[in-house]
Amino acid sequence: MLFRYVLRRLILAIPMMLGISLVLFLIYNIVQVDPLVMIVGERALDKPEIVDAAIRKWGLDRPIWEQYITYVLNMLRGDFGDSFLTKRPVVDDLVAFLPATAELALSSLAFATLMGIPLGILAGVKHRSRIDKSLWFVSLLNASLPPFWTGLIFLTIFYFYLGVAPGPGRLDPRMTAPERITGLFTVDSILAGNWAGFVSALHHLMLPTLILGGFTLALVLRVTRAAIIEEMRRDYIRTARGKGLSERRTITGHALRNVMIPLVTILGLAFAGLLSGAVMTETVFEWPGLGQYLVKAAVNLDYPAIQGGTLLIALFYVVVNMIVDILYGILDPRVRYG
Amino acid sequence: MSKHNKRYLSYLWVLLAIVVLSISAVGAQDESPLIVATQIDDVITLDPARSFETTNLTVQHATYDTLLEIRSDDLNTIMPGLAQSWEVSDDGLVYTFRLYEGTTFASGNPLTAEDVRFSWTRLKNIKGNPSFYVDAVASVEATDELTVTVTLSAPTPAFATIVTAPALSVLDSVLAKEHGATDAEDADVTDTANDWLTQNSAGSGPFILTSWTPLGEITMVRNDNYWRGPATLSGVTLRQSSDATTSLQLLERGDVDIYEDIDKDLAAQVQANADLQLVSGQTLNLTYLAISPDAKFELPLSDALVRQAIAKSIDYDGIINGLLSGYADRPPVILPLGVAGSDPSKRYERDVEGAKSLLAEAGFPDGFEMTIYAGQSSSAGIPNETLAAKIQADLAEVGITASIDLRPNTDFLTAYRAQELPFLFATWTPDYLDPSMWSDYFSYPDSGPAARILLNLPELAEIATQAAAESDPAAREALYVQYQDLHVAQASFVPLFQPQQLYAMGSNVQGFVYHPVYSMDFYAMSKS
Repeated sequence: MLFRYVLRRLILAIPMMLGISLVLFLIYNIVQVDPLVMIVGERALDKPEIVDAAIRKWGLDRPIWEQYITYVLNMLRGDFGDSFLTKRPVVDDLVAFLPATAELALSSLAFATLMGIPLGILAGVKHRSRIDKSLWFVSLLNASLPPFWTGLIFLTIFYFYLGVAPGPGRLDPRMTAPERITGLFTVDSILAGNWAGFVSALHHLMLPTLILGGFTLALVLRVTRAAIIEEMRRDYIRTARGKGLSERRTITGHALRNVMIPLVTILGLAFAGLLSGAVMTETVFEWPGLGQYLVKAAVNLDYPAIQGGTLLIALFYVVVNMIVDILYGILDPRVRYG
Repeated sequence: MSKHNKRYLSYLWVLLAIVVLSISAVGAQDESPLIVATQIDDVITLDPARSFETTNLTVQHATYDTLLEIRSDDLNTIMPGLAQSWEVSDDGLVYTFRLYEGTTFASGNPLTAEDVRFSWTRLKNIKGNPSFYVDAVASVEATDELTVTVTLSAPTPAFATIVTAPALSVLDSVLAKEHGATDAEDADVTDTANDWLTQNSAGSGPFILTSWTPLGEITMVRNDNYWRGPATLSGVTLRQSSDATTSLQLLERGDVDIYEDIDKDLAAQVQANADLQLVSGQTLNLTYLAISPDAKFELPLSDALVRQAIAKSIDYDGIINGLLSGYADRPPVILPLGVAGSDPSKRYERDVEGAKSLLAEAGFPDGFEMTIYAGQSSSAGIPNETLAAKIQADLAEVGITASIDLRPNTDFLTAYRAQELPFLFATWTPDYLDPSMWSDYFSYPDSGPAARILLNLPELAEIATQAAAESDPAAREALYVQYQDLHVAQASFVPLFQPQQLYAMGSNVQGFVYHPVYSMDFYAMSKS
């Protein structure tokens, strides 16, 4: 059942991906910018041999429909073409930039979940108390302050003045990056048995996680709080209390289970969003991730990279939504895969 | 407070403790290389035959050697590098280089004439962006183990200067071939060494490239086998740092040793700090106005008097002192200060009244309307928006009403190249230091910025050709002075400024000297 459901969802993703690629392709062709400027650089534009070699190599002499069909066929083989800007296969670029983003996304999600759910429950249970109001204020602040601003302020306070946090980057600049296995510096350092590297990588994750995760935390907190307030008024809670269950068992054993359904939706979407790369946070913290890569691609109209990156992000959403749907079934037996 | 809430609170305290503990944990440090905060986001590849950006020049200078060198202390003298001597045949077509004996690559392989032949032939056949350096080369031969003979297709006095360019670095052919390099005719499709050469170097230079993380860092370690003797620094790391304030914080906290291309606004702050030093270097970059003389735009700009009036209306000193805090020079047209033949007197001076009377003479006493085009980027750190507004204000003083049209850089370059922009400003950066690096591009109706603004002036093209082909240095300089006179009268290219590049560094860094092509020479540097 589950397998067929997953398979069907994945097959449905294919026409969606094709649609996205077609839209992107058409936009690029409407914009009418000469990709040669980017491919060969300003100076070499005057050298016909170099320009001709580039035109042949990138297939720019062929009609648009032919370029698109070639693109789709290559895409189906997992080949997204070469980036105009980096001259490397887009897939290689995405593989190179994704781990930094993934590491930050995972740590932000963990931070937001571990802090957000208990705080949300606290705020919900102590509804309208002083704790609730101050948490509400903090989460509002978190959600409304722009990350490039808080990022710079945090760096100035915690790094520059107090010296308790490291500067930007993923690792102490005097250290060499661990050998790439997963691309996640924390995991790779442990696998290499490099304790100092692990500590440094974790340390460097702190500030960007606070900033990026803080945003998601605010979201999680508010959703949890609202759901808890709603659930705590229900009959089954009264029943549970009536049975003599402790307040803690009532919340964790009964209310939380129902709170998880809206929460999983929010967390899924937030995670897909985090994986798409947080441009501002990545820029402030010199985090070499997907967000920075894609912005650079967009600014330079590097369309194979834009297309590949957009399709990858679309894929994140498809997969995350699918996982969320599966989790629904586990959390709520009434939901089944029809 | 109820028992349950206490439990929740203690849970939160544990979480908080974890956060605080990880914040205060400090990573251990190993033997410390020189760390430079800079912008490495221009890097596409570090293969000398394929790269054509800026950061790669610094890295290649550190990891490879060239046959000849131009050093910072004298930009007009060519010094021996891997070649101890070189000769040019009387017809200027055959260059013979004699290599030093006993030089080796970092790998330990001996460096021979065959490696030079391989590297230069490969550069040509890869047909990459820097391949035009060797356009004039018909053949390269290894006459014997230590002699390289190059035959050119036309006399090119600039060739010895071109040989100093990092693109003509000598690769360890044995090592490079192991990783897919080839110098075959079809190297543009068969050479597969790019990926390897982007993460490693195959050179004889004082450092060895060990990694490149795009948008992250470039790391190099000392080559203990360096043929001139090992460097003092144990290694060099160039790390991406795009925010000016953060870069300075990194420097002040000692997490980086050098901050390259520091914001001119922050210069005073560096000078006020006793632990830091500020070093400025004269670049050979030129930010210029380009004014098309072509009639197709139906603008008064096709009249030389109007262009001269514009050249007289610009407040050059105001731009340099007001916008660049004085960290720039005023270059002549169109050869920057420091290049052979550059004559500082061949430039424009501000003269508002003179400009007005020229406009009146041309028949536009009340001025006219036009548009200033530029890319949405910056020139020597000044946002182009600001520079455009300054030019707009200067033009308004002589009665010219200009609007501003800034476009994304790629769009701007596309339109510039398509000869659609009659009035714009942009920056020209050189790849090597011969005056032909400028005259080849600012003189001919089919090349470079001259072509893009439809400048077609046969006298200018002719003298540029003569000067580029002249092999007697004194006669060549004289021709370039005449060349600049023609430019001054034409007023199609109006240089605005030649920026200085500022470096902030810890006072413990020694031996830093700026070079206009590769900017830093780590071999000469040390850290105490």
